[in-house]
Amino acid sequence: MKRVQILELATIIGAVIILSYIAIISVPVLQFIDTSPDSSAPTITVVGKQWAWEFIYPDGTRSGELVINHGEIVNLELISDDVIHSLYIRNLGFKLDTMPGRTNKSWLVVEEPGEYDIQCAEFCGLNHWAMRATLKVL
Amino acid sequence: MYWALIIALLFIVLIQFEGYNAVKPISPQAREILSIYRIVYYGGMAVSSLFLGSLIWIIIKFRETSE
Repeated sequence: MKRVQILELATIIGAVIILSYIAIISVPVLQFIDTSPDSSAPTITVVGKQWAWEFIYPDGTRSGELVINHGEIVNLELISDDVIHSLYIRNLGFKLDTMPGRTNKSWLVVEEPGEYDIQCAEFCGLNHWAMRATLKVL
Repeated sequence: MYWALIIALLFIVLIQFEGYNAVKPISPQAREILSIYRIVYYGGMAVSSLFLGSLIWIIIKFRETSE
């Protein structure tokens, strides 16, 4: 086998090994992110609409602010009133779409009290830029 | 020899930027994502060093000389 062929083969095999390794280590992380550790924890419904976020708490209260206690697991159900939006909380590495006609589920637990920005990460129309809210962690 | 040296130096420089612009993780999900990010970053920088280092080495080795 020529030297150049060995180099070509090494490049292909190297790329396959790197990509396979990334795929294998990502599977348990994706499962962990998607599956709530406590399905009986309080569920907050997140409604995305042009151009605001609405949070509906288990007691039926509606608010433009997401307020949770630190260290407490909260389940989220994301829905949309109109077009596709995306709930993005940068500090949590959290981003999940809200889609019309579909409920996306996820969960949150924040370890440090504070205020964190919530943004829409999916271009949803003229005032997409103004679709912001605050996550308050008590 | 110089080829390997250039790649190694480039890799050392690039991995210095690993934490740049990364936010402090405050949830278990964010921590898991950051751990994957780190692995992907190191892998990406290894490949980048290989290609950029080779490019730099080729430019120097096969440059036009004055004679």
